[in-house]
Amino acid sequence: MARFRSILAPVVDDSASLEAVAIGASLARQEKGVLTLLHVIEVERSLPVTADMDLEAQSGEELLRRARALAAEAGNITINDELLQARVAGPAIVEEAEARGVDVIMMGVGWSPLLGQFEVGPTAGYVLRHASCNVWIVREPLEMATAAAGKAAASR
Amino acid sequence: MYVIIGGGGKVGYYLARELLEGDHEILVIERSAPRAAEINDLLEGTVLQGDACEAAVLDGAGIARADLVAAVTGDDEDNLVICEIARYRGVPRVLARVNNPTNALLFQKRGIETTVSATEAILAQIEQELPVTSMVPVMQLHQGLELVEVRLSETSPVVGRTPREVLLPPESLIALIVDSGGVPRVPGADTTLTVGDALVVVTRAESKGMLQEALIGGAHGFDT
Repeated sequence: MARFRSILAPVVDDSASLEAVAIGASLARQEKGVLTLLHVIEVERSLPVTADMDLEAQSGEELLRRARALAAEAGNITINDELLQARVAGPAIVEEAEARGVDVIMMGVGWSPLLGQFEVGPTAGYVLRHASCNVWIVREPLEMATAAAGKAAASR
Repeated sequence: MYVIIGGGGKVGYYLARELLEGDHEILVIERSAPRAAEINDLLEGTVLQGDACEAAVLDGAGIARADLVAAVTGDDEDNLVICEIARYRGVPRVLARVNNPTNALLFQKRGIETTVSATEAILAQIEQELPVTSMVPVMQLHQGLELVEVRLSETSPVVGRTPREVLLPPESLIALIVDSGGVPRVPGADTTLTVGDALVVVTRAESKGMLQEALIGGAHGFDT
């Protein structure tokens, strides 16, 4: 089995993503590896990619703090975190993985059936198609995933 | 530089791919959802699915901060609309693909100076290959000016004269002379035009007929 000493976990504000962080942290402890948490702020095209995104940056940092705390529960592991601004998250995740030479990208996917069919979404889809390293997709147990999807739909 | 490309067909796709190599910020706007998804994967997520003829789509694409808009769809009407919106939004450089060369004048009348026509480019190439042809369009410049190449034959009325003695149409000038040996010369007071010289001339599009008559005489060459 391949060794996964360097793990990249893209983080968004949903339970599947945090589940992927927890699993990534367990793997990092087992492998005595490094876990990098990454949050990508997608900047709309009407603004330069380097535009000040204060609100998004604040919530991204808060999200990374929560993810870091969750990962730290796994024990004594090295955790890095990174907040990036990009046009779209998928290519930014793949580029970051390549720049850091990670062994695996671990990302959670929600349960959002479109027209009755499950789809992984554009970001996970892009990463699956383009990342040169391993990619692990984490989906929560169906009951939890559908409950989270229902909750999200109700809040819209 | 931020470049928006209207149309994700073959021209738009390859244009975007080349520009991405140059480290520019690129966005391709493609109307067809399947085509947009297909090229988005190949162009590092730089494709927006939508109709580039709609101002709202272009606004969402950040046209207000674009340095250049290239309208390269297969429809001249769409390209004209994209360019019009881009100009209205203050984009400093606007470029259009013209599929039907006769539409080029329409674009120019609307203030879109830079047009590219594959048909004209191929025609120019063919004309360069044809020995009977004496006047070849080389390039479109700004403000309705063009660069043309004129090769002098034995029947040319300007052979044996100096460039100063040649009566050219208004706003036209001989910029360069390449002799039959391929040596380029800047026209001077003592330069004599000879058979086989290729004159590179700046002229107005509407003056090409007069230029042809002045340099070639009669009805030789194509007037494109």
